[in-house]
Amino acid sequence: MRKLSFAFIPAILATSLFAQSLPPDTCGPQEPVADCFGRFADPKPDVVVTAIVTDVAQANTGAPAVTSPLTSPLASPLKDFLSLFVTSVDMATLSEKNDGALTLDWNFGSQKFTTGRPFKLQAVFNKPQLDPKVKAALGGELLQQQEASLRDTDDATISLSYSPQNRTLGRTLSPHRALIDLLTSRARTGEVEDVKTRELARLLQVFEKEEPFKSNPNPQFGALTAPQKAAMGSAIVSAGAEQVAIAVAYRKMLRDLGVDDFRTLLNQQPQAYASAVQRSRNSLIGADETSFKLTYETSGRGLGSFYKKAQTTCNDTQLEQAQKDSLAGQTESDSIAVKACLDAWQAFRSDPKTKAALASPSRFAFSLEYAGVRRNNVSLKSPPPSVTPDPFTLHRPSSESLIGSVVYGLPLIGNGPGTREGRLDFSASYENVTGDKDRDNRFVASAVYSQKISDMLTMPIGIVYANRDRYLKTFSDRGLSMHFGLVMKMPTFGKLQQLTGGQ
Amino acid sequence: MSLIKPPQFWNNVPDGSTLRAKSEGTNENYTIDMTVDSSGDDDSVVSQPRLEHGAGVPLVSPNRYIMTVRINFAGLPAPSVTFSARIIRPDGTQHQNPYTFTVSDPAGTPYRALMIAVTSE
Repeated sequence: MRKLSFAFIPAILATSLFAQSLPPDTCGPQEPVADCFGRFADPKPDVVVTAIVTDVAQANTGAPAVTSPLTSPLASPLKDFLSLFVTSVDMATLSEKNDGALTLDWNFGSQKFTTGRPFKLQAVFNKPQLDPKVKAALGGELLQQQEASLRDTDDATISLSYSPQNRTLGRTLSPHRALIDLLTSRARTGEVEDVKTRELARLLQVFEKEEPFKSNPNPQFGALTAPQKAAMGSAIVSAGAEQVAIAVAYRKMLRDLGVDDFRTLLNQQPQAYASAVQRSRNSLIGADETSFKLTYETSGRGLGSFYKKAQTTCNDTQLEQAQKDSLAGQTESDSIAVKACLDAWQAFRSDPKTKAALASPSRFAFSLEYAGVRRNNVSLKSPPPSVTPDPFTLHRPSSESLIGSVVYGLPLIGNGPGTREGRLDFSASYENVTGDKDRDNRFVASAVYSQKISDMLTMPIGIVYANRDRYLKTFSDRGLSMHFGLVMKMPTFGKLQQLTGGQ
Repeated sequence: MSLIKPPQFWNNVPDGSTLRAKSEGTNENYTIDMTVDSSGDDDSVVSQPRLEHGAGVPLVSPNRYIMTVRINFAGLPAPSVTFSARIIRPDGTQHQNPYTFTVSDPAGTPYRALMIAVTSE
């Protein structure tokens, strides 16, 4: 990926140099007419960022694991823990990793009863490998025999997870489709007539039988005849300016109608997640393991609060009617339902509690996780003389752990002009372990401040306290440690393409 | 607000052709619609369900059509949305180049795409 980014540098330079050489008030001679129209019709990027959540977390804090990500010093409830859920939303997928593991993912659930496909079934067939202690003890022909006896299904992990998606829980759009349709279609009906763009279309029709338009619908501006240039040049600039005005007005309408607040409140919806994982293994590979995890995250006020508050003036039936009317182009003056629901939405937005939730979207999450490892006994009769005793036995006792975690996070600095998000996260977890002599109960608490330096770079700094230091390297004998680091997110291929204009 | 660049121009569109438009998201967390502004007929709106199933807009001569696509992102995670449009002549062949783009924006920037189709007079 890094090599690829260097490879794109000449393309980026070429693109920017070309952009610099274009005249600011007309089309460039080598510029195709549609490209020129696009240049003048593009509104400047938004400078006012009103959305709070600007980054979909890559980390998943919902899947059960022996070490809960919520206990990690860098875990944050501000991160969305459902990303695992939606990696393969549409269909079941089968993938093979480099180590030979096969993974089957399937998100399922019907639109009517379980909106947003809230179930995820995952099966992983790891490449079977003997327990290292068994492998070390055996040798020669017996080792080869045992390795050859392993089947592809001897190390299988099956997980089932569930995250409800409705108007009260979950952050998918589907349960809120009626409200967003009402808002966006109302914004659309507020658009003005595109008179200048119609004039441009008329000229395209006038010249369509003439060269160069006859053989190319998008010729370079320099290839146009003098009369075509005279007519098209000013028409493109005027139509472009008109499109900018329309786009800016539409964006303002979206803001005034509260679409940005809708997004923020949707991203603040409470989330619940439950999962169960079963790993079944041949005793020569290792012990069977079972784990369960429950996670709940809330930020106090989301879109669900709107539906409760608006029940008297905009219930489900009225909202559906408002959606239908608005999609058909009706406004407050044409439809009682549109008026009632827009009024209810604006009243909810102006509620002091909603304003407070929009201003400071803190989040609280807790999770409970159980992980159990079953007893495992291996016994091999008549091993070679080099392996003693006969029969060779390996005994591993069963063990269990119960982990409870709470995390609270709040942004201290919001994203905005000249500022980048800075957030503070507090977390505490307690792990109760039984039956494992290598592990002990322990309590861990942390406070971490993460400052975004760029879109790709975050600097976390934090203090971690642990009552036992078995799993934590500390420079303090009181269990306190300090962490400082840099987290870099590598750009995706798609973003590189955007940077280079798809060159 | 961002414009998908460049806009699409089709000319010399034969009478009776059809604009086939389709949108596909990697999940449901977006809204999309397409308005069809016609110089001769009434303006119309192609809804999200129709676009997701693949919509057909008849193009009648002599006419000029301005199609505007609006995409809004809401909900996490933000999907990648692919929009594609092509003009199919009455004989079933494709007229000029198809138009397609893919966008994704977790920050929620609305997107807008423009297409102009003018028919043969």
